[in-house]
Parts: sequence; C-alpha cells; structure tokens
Amino acid sequence: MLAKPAVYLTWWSIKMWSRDRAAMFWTFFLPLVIMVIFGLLNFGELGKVDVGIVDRADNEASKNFIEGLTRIDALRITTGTADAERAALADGKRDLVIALPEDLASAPGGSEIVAWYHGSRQTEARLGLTVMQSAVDELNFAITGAERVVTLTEEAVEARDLGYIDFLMPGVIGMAIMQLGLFSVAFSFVTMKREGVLRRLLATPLNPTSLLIAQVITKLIVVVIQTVILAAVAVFLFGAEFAGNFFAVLLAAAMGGAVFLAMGFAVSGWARTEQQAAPLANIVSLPMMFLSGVFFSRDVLPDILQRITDFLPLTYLVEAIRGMTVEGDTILMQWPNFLGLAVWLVVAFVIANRTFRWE
Amino acid sequence: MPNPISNTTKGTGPVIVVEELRKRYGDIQAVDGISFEVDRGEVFALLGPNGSGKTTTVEIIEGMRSADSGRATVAGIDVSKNPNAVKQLIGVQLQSSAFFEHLKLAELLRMLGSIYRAKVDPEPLLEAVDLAERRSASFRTLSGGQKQRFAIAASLVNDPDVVFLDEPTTGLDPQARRLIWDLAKTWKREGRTVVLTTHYMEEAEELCDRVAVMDSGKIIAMASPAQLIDQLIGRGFHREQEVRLATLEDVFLDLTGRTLREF
Repeated sequence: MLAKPAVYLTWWSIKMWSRDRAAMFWTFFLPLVIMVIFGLLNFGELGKVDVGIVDRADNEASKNFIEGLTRIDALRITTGTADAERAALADGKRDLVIALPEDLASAPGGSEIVAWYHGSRQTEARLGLTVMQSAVDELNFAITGAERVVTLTEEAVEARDLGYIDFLMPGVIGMAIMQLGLFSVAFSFVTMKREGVLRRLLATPLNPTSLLIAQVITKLIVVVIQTVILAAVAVFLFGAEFAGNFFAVLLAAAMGGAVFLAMGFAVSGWARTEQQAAPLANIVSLPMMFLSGVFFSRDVLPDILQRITDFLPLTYLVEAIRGMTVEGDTILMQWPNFLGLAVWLVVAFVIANRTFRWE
Repeated sequence: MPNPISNTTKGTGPVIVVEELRKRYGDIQAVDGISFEVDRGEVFALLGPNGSGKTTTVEIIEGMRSADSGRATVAGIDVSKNPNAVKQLIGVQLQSSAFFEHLKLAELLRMLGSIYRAKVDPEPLLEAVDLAERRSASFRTLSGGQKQRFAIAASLVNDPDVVFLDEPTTGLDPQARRLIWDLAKTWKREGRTVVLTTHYMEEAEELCDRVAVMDSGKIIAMASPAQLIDQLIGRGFHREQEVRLATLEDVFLDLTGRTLREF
C-alpha cells in the first residue's frame, strides 16, 4: 500500500523547491548578503563614546567638572546612580562609567576618580579615558596649580560583549522568514493558479488540503534550514551571541514561518496575477522590515509608533528570537511574543481560508 | 496496480448517465437540461460551436464543476456526492493543461500517479505519445503540440476506465492529430470509454460510435455519425460537389509522411 498522497506530494515539492534557483537566491543568498554587509558595517562602533557619571560629590567642583565634560564632542554624558550606571555598562549602553568621590577636590591627601569601562570595548573606553585624563588634569590645575591632587584609576569590568551583530542576527532571521513565507507561497500559488496547474490538480482525486500541507511542510523545512545557516554565519563568522536554546529558537522560527505562510496564502488567494501579488506582498512586508526592529532598535521610533509596532507579527518574531539569542530567554519567558504570533496565525489563517481560490 | 473500483465498471450498459443537467453563469444558461448516456467501451463525442456548453457539461461529469440541477453518474457513482471516487476512475485532458514547474516529464507522471496512489512507469506512457526522448524536459519548454500530447499521457497515469478529452487535437498538425486518433482507437480496443469534445467533424466521423450535437446548452441531435448523415440525406440534402476520392489532408500526409516532426 502506498503512503498518503500528502507525503508523496511533500517529497515532490521539496524536490521542486530544491531546483528553484530563484527561490534559493531569495531564501539563502540575499539574507546572507544583507547580514554580511550590515555585519561588516558594524554600526555599533560608530558615534560617540557613551560615558556615564556617578556624581557622589554633588558639589560645585563636580558640577563644573561634568559641565566641562559635556562640552567635549566625542563624549555622550549621562549621569545616574552607581547601580544604574554599572547596569547600563553591563548592558552595553555605556562604554565608560566614572565615579566622582564625595570628597572631590576637598580631600587633603587628594581624591580618587574611579573609571569602569567595558572590557570588550577597549577602543571606545581608551578614547574616553584619554579625554577623561586630560579633563582630570585640567581639574588638578584649577585646584592646585601644577600639583596632582587627583589621580585617575582605571578598572575594567567584565561585561557581556554585545555588538550590533547580536542585534542584527535575530532581525535578519526574522526578516528572511517573513520574506520566504510571504513571497514564496504568494508567487508560486498565483503562478500555478494563472497557468492552470491548480485546475489540472482539481481534475484528480487530490484532497486540496494535501497540497497545502505539502507546501507548508516544505516551506517550514526551508525556514529551519534558513535559520540554521543564518545563525551559523552570524555566530561563527561574526561572533554573534547565541545564549538561548537552539531548538527554542527554531520553534519560534517555525511559528513565525507559519504566520507568514498563512499571510502568503491570503495574498495568493486575493491576487489573480503575479503583478497583483507583488505589490500586496510588499505593502505587507516593507513597513515591517523597517518598523519591527530588524536593522535598528524600535527605541528610536516616536512613542506612538513604538506602541503600534509592538503588535506587528514581525516584531513578535524578531523579539522572541532576540530575547532567546541575546538574553538566553526560554520559551516560557517569551510567552507574550509567542502569544502574539499565535494570535496572528489564527487571524492570517482565517483570512487565507476566506480568500483562497483554486482557479 | 489493479483498480479496485474498476470491477464495477466491467460488463455492458451505460457507464455515464446524465439526467436533466443544468448550469447557469449569470445571464447565460450554459447547460440547459441535457440528458444522455454513454455505454462502456464507446467513443462518444460532444460536438458544437464555441460556447455551446460542451466543456461545461464535460467538466460537471468530471467533478470539476457543480451543476445547478440534474444528475451525472459515472459507473453508478453520483459525481456531486462523491467527486473524488469518480476522479479516481477517470482520466482527464483539459483544453489547456499546465503542470508543476521544476519537474521533468517523467517525474510529473510519477507525481500525478502518487495522487491516485498508483505506481507509474512513465516510459510506456511517454512512448505512446512520442515524447520518450523528452522525458527529462520540463513541461514549459515543450511546443504546443507536445504539451497537448503530454497532457494526454498525463490523463492515463491511473489506468482510467473513462478518458475525457476536451478538444484534444485543436491546433495540432495532421501528424499529431493522427497519433491521437490512433491512441483513442487503442483505448477503445482496450475496453476504455472515451468522451471527447471537438470542432472537427472528420475527427468525430473517424473516431466516434455516437455523437451528440450541442447548441445553446441543449442537445439538438444524437446518433451515430452514419445515422446523422443518413437523416440529413433523407431530408433531401445533397452536396454541391462530387465526393472526392482523396482530400487535401491525404495529399499533405502523402507528401510529408505520417511520422511526427517534433520530439
């Protein structure tokens, strides 16, 4: 007895997919190129040195000192409590944290400014420290003439090495899944519909669900392969962080894949030609590519836009993966993002079910 | 693989029964209450101008469209109630067929076979339509005539009891047309029932046991080609021209030979 036609169809559709050069390009090559280019650019190293200042003295001398520092272009100065600033340093939001002692410029034997810096961000920290050293010298001069009454002590803090690639990898994985889900199904089904392939299948005893299942399984296998390749390149070539469970990330990827596949079916149901499918798929995907925190943090968006983009399916997907790879979160800890994806899956499935046509 | 349901279609009597079939598209009554039967092993044709309702009728029997009213059965199975059981028994060549991209012809036949849970050897099927040498080609790269022939091979993957051919020879050169006619005659010898639609009267005359002439969704005449011709002559019709001993097509085939030109 032969196996269920759905199993055979899945096998054939994997075979077909593996011969599709265009699909290979869009699925593997393009996301890889994007990740390599953005990975090499490494936006994380651009810009100013982030210096956090803990002002324990809170006197005129310390105020003048800080005021002097804020006028230096190369530095971005923030002030806060010791705990907050050390935490920010650990999170990679500061390159250097300076603690001004309570007895700044008033201790008889001279006082000590402590500088913590990000061990992995030597370049930024050194730059900051050099600038800082001259500022300290200035302060010395101002107080005592030529005598050094204040010295600067450097102290490296072990902090997690978070770079742009760590942010980028989950973003590009999410983006690639979205593109695959939306475009592969939308285009192949519209083509099959327009050419009459689906009509020909309608003349066979094929259960339509079998064809859908075969397509979905094929594409989910591709999603997994795609995720593995992109993560491998990011981790082994660019040293990206991958703290969480690998299979949990694949589960999030597959779930996101299912959401965008359902959206792809909805698009292919509505569109009669590839010329109609292309703009619609782009209208859905383009805003998400830039508003769901793929290439840059949504923190830079205006508040209202942040609150709206919280609900985008790609936001849920990217943030779930990012939470796992960067923070080492478990699926349970990421439940709100999984719930978001689940809701989108239901919504997209209902729409696809309404719009999908065989002819 | 022997078809378990095909036992029920052996013997004599009608294999297709159509009763009072109707189908309407907007303002157009495409099929207007037609009834007919097709016997086992018969070659039956629906003739008629474009838009007469032939294709709609055939597609209802094939289970690809639903009728507004009336009934169609194949081997005793009601198409509207169990379309997949009917589809399992029949082979269908559509007016314009398309197949998956990225699969070779031989693979397409095996893939289609798997839908019927049948293990298919693509070679004899491809040989029958003279496409064995293109077994590794993709459907898209075929010429129009080759596509038509492949579609016919594809309609045979499930060893069907009834073969439906919708305008199988439209746009084909005389050699390819002869090949398809020979195939239809082979199927008849094998005991298969063949239902075809065509615009070509010489095709109907050459192949068919009986024909039904359709116009505006109705059957306006149904009998064997010879009977229809006799009826016409009986009404006092006679051709202006003398009957020739050969036609221009005979001349063409004599000059260019009967072998197919595209492989």
